[in-house]
Amino acid sequence: MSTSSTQAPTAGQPIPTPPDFPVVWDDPRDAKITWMLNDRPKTPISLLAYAVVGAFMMGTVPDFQRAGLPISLRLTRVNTYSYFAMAPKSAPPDVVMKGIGLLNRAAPGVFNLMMGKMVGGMSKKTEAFLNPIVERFEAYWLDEILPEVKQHLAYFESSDLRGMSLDQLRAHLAETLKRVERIGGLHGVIIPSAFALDQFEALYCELFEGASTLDALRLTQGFDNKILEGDRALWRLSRAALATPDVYAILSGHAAVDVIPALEKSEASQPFLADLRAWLSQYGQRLNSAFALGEPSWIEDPTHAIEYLQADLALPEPKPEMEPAALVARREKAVAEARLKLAGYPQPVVARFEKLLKAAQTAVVVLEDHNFWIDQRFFYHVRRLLMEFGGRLAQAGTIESASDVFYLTPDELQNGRDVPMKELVKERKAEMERFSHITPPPKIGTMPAFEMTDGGTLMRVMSKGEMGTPNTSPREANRVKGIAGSAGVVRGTARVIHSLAEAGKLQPGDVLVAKFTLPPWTPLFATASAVVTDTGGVLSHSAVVAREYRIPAVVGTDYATSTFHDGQLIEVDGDAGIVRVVVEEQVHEPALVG
Amino acid sequence: MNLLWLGDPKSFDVALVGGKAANLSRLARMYHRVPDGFSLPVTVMDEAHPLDLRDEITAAISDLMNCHRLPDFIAAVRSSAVDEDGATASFAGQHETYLNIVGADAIIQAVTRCWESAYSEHALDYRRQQGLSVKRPQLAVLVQQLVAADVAAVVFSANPITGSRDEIMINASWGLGESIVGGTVTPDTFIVRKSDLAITNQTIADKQHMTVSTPGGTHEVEVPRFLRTQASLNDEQVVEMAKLAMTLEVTLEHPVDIECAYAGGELYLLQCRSITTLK
Repeated sequence: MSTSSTQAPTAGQPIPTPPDFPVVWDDPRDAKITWMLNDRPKTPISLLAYAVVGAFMMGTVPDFQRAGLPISLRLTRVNTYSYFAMAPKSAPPDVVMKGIGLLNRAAPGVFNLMMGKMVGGMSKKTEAFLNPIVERFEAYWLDEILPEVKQHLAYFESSDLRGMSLDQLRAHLAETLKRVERIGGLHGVIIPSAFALDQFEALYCELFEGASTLDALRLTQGFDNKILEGDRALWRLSRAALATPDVYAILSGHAAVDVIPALEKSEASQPFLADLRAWLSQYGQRLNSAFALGEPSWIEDPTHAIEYLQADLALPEPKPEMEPAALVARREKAVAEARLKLAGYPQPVVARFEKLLKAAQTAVVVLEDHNFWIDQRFFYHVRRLLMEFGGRLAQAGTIESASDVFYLTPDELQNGRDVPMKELVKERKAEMERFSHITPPPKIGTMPAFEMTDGGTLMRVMSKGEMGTPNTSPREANRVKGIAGSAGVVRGTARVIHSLAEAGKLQPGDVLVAKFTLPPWTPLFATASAVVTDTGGVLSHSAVVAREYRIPAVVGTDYATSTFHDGQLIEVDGDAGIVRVVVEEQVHEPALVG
Repeated sequence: MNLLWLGDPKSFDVALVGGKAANLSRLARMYHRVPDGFSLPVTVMDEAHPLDLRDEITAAISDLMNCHRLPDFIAAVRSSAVDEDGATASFAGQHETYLNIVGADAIIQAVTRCWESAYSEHALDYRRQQGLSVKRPQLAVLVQQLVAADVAAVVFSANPITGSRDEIMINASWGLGESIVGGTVTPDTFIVRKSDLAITNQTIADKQHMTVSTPGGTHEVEVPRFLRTQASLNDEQVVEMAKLAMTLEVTLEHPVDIECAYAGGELYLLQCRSITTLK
């Protein structure tokens, strides 16, 4: 993750805040700990979305604790931005931090010994918790986690929101927040997923001299998942559109927002429109990100889906090596080679290899499928409920419009019959608008008393996912070094994409440069020739999907979005993890050089 | 019939099949799980080129696969040169070993190489230069199933360190026996009391290397970290090995050291010698 380039305050000292970001602490003890900006997204968050996201994040805590992390999570919302702090589980955090800081300064040797012991103990706990899960990982996902996720979805699907009274909706909201917290716990399945892949990759690299992480991950690629399934179904729709002149004319001749009204008017387009709606009802139960509760779902506003469809029109047929059978054959060949090499190895080695291979293959699917079921579908239903609530309040004249509901807290919605909601909404809207123009500091409160250089197994494993690790390479003007995320070398025109709204500027063969990518972005991977991100590790969504699309990726560069700009010809080396400018301001066709 | 099966009393004759095959043949009579195989005795090797034996070797391997229900026959092919008096000759080029040879064709090829190393003009020239006997040597070849050992062990039916005949000592480590025999790994050590088969002491070592079979041979590799400090044998296996050593000691009426291995959960006896150096 990138950190601010402003002067770093000293360890254990209060962090100065910019004048446009005054911080007032209700509890002065809170000023003594370190609060980190929740930077996904790095935009103001409404009170209602904050409550939902907060419940979700709190729900993730028990699994982290079981996995050996002796901390609890604290959340706060300052100047409309969400911040979190990791606090020790037992003692008051400010006291513990100060004590450890003192020890660090007074007796660094003792401090290092103590920290080493603590981290070692944590890693043992992590492994003791995760190893038994990894042992039966496929059953854990298919028989325990996924059925419960589906139960929650079934609860929402069977709830007749329209038929509920306002009081019933209030009860439903309380129940939903409880389920959000639980879904946070179920989302914890990404911890054993990352662990399984980490363990497999480590064993593979030990067994096969000179093998890289990406070599190991080849044995896990080519499994279908719900995200790719949706992308493929949309691509098939684009082929149907190409085969129907009326549809093609509408899609290629209208802006995305105007496409559906035009299709509705066209007699010849009706079968296609029905297929498109079927696609939306199956794969459109998603928000622009899990936490973008204030933005419409794709069912409410299919513009992004239409944009992807329009982009797909320009794409050629998939290369033969992208056919599912070819991807499976490629993986199975790698698996067969590994098995052949291990045939003469002692049985415990072969057994461990097979167990971890199976777990890692399951994990790579879980890393995407959990997105489909939880990040997309579950939060789609949460938004539906919140919008229904808002619609009722708007109908009753309590607020102006349905989406104003996001400026209210769950407590106000449940108990605030006498709250002046319209005024509150107005005030809070203005506040969010005001703070949307400033850059929030990445950390507030007090600088950590010490830096934990080794976070143990759990931190190491999680840093391979979305979290990433700080980039230790020096910053350069025309080049970034990150983590090799997907093999191959390619040159293409840089397109820096900050949000889905900008997705339209990506042309076939361009290099997608982004802070990070979210599951709703995956259709872009069919258009892009390579992917470069600021954050994330080798198991991040961007890297996983790039490997499935077999395009090069470099992730966790920290600086890509601030180093490259639109129109540069850049070279992405997905094996070395290096991206560099080849030609300034010149638009080239992509050329494969390796 | 040109071949002699291991265990056939005819192969007890060192002058006919060489020392190793003769020894294994006797062992095969004492313990049922000695890796199976056959010898091409000196009388055959003297008269025929291995390629003339193609059909017979192929049939024998097919028999072995059927008998032991093996999907492939993975062999160790070893030659031994035999003097007229039956003692094993010790000059260069006379002890060829080909490990991890898979299938009849490759085995015939390996036998051919053994034959050439002994009988070719080149081999004779070499011996002439070395001042060695150029008399046509007597050569026997042993083709034996190579057991893909999960754990290999050397078992002493008397404690070679203390000299105690009341104890058995087992050294065991992952993979094929070469790493233990060659001393490139510190093996686990188990001490078993003969009177009640109690494990009185065990030291689990950090076993860093192991020998594994790889296509066309064997290779020493690093043991993956997760396995290094795991015990290579469980208690039951320790006791089974101890019992085998005790049985052989009784049969041979002398303390013995044996090489054995677990493969697929079965205990195989690979070699057995008398301990002559006991205090």
